[in-house]
Amino acid sequence: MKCIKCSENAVISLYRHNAGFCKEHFTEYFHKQINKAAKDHKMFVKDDKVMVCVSGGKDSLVLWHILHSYGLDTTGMYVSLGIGEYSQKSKEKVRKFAEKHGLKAIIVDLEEKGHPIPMLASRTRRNACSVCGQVKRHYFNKVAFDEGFTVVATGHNLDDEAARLFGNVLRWDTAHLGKMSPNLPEDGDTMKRKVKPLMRLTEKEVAAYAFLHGIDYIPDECPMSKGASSLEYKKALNELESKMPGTKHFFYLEYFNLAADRFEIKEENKDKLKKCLKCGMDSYLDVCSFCRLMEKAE
Amino acid sequence: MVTIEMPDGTVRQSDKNRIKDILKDIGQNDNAVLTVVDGCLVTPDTGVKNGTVVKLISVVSGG
Repeated sequence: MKCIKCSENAVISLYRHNAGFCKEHFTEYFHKQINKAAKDHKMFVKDDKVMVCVSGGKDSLVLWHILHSYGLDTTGMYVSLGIGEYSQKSKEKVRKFAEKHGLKAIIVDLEEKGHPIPMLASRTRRNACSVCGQVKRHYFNKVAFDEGFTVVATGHNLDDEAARLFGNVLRWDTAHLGKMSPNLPEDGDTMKRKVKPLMRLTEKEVAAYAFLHGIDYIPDECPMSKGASSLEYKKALNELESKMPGTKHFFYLEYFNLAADRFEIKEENKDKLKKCLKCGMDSYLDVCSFCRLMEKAE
Repeated sequence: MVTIEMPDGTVRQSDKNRIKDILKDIGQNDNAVLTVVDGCLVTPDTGVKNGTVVKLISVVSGG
């Protein structure tokens, strides 16, 4: 296959766009998709202080690499989950990336804090992915607030978001359908704006970008994610995508044109936000879900 | 025969000579992997000779 824009051999074929690209033109395509996402959803403003949530995986490191290359003021924020060798390796990837590019990485170590994810999941008898998401969200919000960041950027890609939308639709989870936006506004006094600039790019495209640009990431899946429903949704969507290219793209992106307004969070609910009595972050209850999780685990 | 290094470290063999056919032969979805031959990314229509080693890199993450 030849690149659709020149005569070089293609390094990637994008069936949903009926196109193949060489490295140079794939890179151009990749940046265009990020710029379009950022512009369409008004993700950044001048002088933003950006906290990039990094895991050591391809998505977050590619995102950090790109936002830094755009001249944005970025700092990485990594939560070490306390999942043995996997966490050690991923932390090392983050450290090396930050060092190579002369960037700052804030590291929160759950082992040092006394509540690694395997212990929390076991003590609360909850699904590890669900506990992990809750804990990471808390620290992302808290660090962003404490350190005065104006926006939090995450590396969620098209596959992540299509799978999440798919899961929320299958369960008709209207509360979470209302939070699908790739630019979630500030909430209360402590929750910063959250953006997902990779929303238009598939996992394969992000991995290809990392490969082609020598971004060293941890390719392993989290050992605790085996059997996670999100992976099953991705598998199902990839099967559909193989037979009907463009399915994921259409399903996710058209949600915002055709359905998102039906699930918008009602303004009146925002009045109910109060400060968590334990950690001081915004919460709908006297004690936030993170602090309740900690109480349960003790 | 073509040798395929799978993302989990295992090795498979295929008697097909086109990446697309090889992936189908081993039941691997093209959307879930990068395909690397001689250190370069290749597209599914790429033909490979007998004895070639094809490396697959998983692109799926999350939980």
